[in-house]
Amino acid sequence: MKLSARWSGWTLASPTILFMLAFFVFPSLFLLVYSFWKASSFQITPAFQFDNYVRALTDELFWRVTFNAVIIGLMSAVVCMAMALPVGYYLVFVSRSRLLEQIILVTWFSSYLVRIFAWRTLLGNDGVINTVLQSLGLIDAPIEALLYSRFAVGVTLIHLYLPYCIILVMTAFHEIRQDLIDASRDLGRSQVGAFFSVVVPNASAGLVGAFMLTLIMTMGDFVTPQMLGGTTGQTTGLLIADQFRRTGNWPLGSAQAVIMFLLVVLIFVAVIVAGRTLGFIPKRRKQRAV
Amino acid sequence: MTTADSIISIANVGKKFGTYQALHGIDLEVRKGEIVTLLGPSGCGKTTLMRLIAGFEDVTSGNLRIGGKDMVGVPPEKRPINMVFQRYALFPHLDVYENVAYGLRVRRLPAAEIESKVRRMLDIVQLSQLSQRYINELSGGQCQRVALARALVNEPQVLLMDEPLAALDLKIRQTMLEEMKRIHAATGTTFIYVTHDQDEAMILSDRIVLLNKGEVVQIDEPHQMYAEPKSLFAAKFLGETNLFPVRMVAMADGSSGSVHATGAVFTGKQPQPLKEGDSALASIRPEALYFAASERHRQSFKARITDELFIGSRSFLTAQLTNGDRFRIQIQRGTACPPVSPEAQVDVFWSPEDVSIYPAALT
Ligand SMILES: Nc1ncnc2c1ncn2[C@@H]1O[C@H](COP(=O)(O)OP(=O)(O)OP(=O)(O)O)[C@@H](O)[C@H]1O
Ligand SMILES: [Mg+2]
Repeated sequence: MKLSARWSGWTLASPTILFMLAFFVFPSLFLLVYSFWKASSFQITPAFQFDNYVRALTDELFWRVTFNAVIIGLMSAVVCMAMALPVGYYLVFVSRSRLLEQIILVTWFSSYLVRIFAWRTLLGNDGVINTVLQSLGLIDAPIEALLYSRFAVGVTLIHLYLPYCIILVMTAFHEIRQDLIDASRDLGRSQVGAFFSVVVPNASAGLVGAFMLTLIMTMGDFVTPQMLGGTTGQTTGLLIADQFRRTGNWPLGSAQAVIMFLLVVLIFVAVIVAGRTLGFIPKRRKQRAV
Repeated sequence: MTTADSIISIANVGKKFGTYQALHGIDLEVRKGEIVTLLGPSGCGKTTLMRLIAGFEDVTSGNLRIGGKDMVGVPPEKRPINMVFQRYALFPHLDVYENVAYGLRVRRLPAAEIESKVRRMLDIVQLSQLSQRYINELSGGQCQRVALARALVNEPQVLLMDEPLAALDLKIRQTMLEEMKRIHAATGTTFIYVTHDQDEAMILSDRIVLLNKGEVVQIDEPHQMYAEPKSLFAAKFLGETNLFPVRMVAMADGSSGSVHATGAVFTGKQPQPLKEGDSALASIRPEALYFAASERHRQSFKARITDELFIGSRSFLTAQLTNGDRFRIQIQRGTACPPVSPEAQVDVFWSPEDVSIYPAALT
C-alpha cells in the first residue's frame, strides 16, 4: 500500500497536530469562550457579555500589575538578549566549543525553585549582600528593597531564563555561515559592523523568536513575583492565577489572560515594525513573476 | 627579490593550526597587475594561504607585506584586498544590486557614485537584468558573477579568488575564464587565483605557484612549468607524463645518463642531483613521442601498440615495451601512425630535450 505524499504528510504530522489541538488550541478556545461567561457567587453560567473585560480594564490593580508585568518582562527580555547575543556569538562563531554550550545547559538542570530560593538567600534582609554591606559598615540597616521589589523579580527572572535565551539565540546563529561574516569584513565592515549588517538580518526571524519567547516566559511567570515581588513586584500572572486558584472567578481570569495575549501580540508587532524601521529585519519583497 | 612593482611579498611564512603545520617556509612575490595561480592537490594549503593574505588568519611565523606595509595585526577590513569566496558567500538578505553595492555603502560614497559604479559593474558581468533578484533566485553561474562584481566594484589592489569556478559546468567555466581575462585586462587588478584544475591555471596565469603539503614546489610561467617541471611531483601534477624506471650511468662522453631495463638509454635534464648507480625515473610527456626519427628525435626504443583511445582531436595509444612496461603516446588526428597490433614491433623516437630525470625515492 502506498500513501500519497499528502496523506503520508498528514500521518507523520498527526501526533503533533493532535497534541497541539488537545493541549493548546482547545484550551485556548475554552479560555476565549470562558472570558465571555458570567460568574456570580461561585456559579459560572454560559453567556455572551463583555462584563469581564470591562471589569478587568477598569480595575486599578489590574493596570498596576500589568504595567509591572510588562516592565519586568521587557526589562528581563532585553537584558537577556543583550547578554545572549554576545555570548551566543562567541560560542557559535569564535570558540565553536560544544563543551561550553553543554555547561550552559547544565546550569539549566538545577531546579527552578532552588534557584529562586538562592536569590532570596542572596537578597534577603539577613541575606549575603546585606550582611556583607553591614559588616563592612557601608550601611546601618539592611536594604529592604533588595528583596520584595521589581528589581529582585527582574534579577531572578533573568537568571532563570538566560540559558534558555542563549540557546534560542545560538540556534538562530547556527543558521548563519561563517563565510558571510568573512565576506562582510572583507568588504570593509568591522566585527561589530558585520554582526549588525549581516548576522542580525539573516538571523532576524530566530532572534525575534528568542526575544518573544523570553518575554512571554518572564512576563507570564507568577512564581517568582510571588516569592520575591512583595507588594510592589506583583504581576498579572499572579493575579490571573489567583482568579483560578482562589477566587474561583474563571471568566474574569480568562478575560485577563486574553488581554495579556493581545498585549503580547501588540509587543510582537511593535518589535517587527521597529526591526524593519531600523533595518535589522530585511524587507523581503514578494517574488515577482518573470 | 623585492622589486619596486611588487604588491604582495611573502617571506618565509608559516601557519600552524594547533600542532598541525599547514604551511611552511612560503616565499612569494606578486607583482602589480599579475595573475598568479595557486595550484595544488586538495589540502595542500591554498585556501589557508589566501586567508592569510586576506587577513582572516594570522601568520604564525615569517613576514607578510602588502603594498610594502607589514600586515601583522591588520584586520581584513583594513587591507586593500577583496576576495571571491569558495562558496560565494553572497548575502541572502540583499538583492543582487545591494550585494554589489555593499562595499561602497560601507565606504559611505555619495549615492550617485554608488549607483553609477554598481550599474557599470553589473553591465560588465552582464547582470543588469537581474539586479532586483535575490540570491536564492539565481543560478550558480549568476551567483559567481555577482560574487565577482561585489569584489571588483571596490577596485581593490588585489583580488583573491578561491576556486570561483569549481561549482560550474565546463561550458560556463570556459566563458567565465574568458570573462575574467577580459575583466583583468580592463581593470588591471592583481589577481591571485586558487584552483586545483590545471587547465584553468594554464589558461589564466602569468605565473603558477605549485604547492604540495604546505610548501611551494615550484613557481614558474605556465609554459616553463609544463616544459621543465623541477620535480617528479610537478611533472606528475601538471599534465600527463610517462615515467620509466631507470638507473643512472656514466655515458661514453663523460656526461651523466640513465639506462632502462630494456637497454634503452635516456639522457636529459636532471633538475635534482643524481649520481651514478641511483635509481631514477625518466619522464617523457605522451605528446613528445614520435614514430619517425629526426635530427632532434634521435633516441628510441622498440614497443608494441596494444590499444588506441580516440578523443576527438587527438588519440592516446597505449604501448608496451619488451619488458612489459606500459606507456602512452599522444598523436594528433590525421597523423600517420602504425596500426594497433600486439605482434608488430615499432620504433618510438624522442628528443633528449623532452626528457627529465628525477630521483626515484622521493616525490
Ligand atoms: N582552521 C583549521 N584548523 C585546523 N586545520 C586546518 C584549518 N584550516 C585548514 N586546516 C588544515 O590545513 C590544511 C590545508 O587546508 P586548506 O583549506 O588550505 O587546503 P586547500 O589547499 O584549500 O584544499 P582544497 O583544494 O581541498 O580546498 C588541511 O590539511 C586542513 O585540514
Ligand atoms: Mg580550499
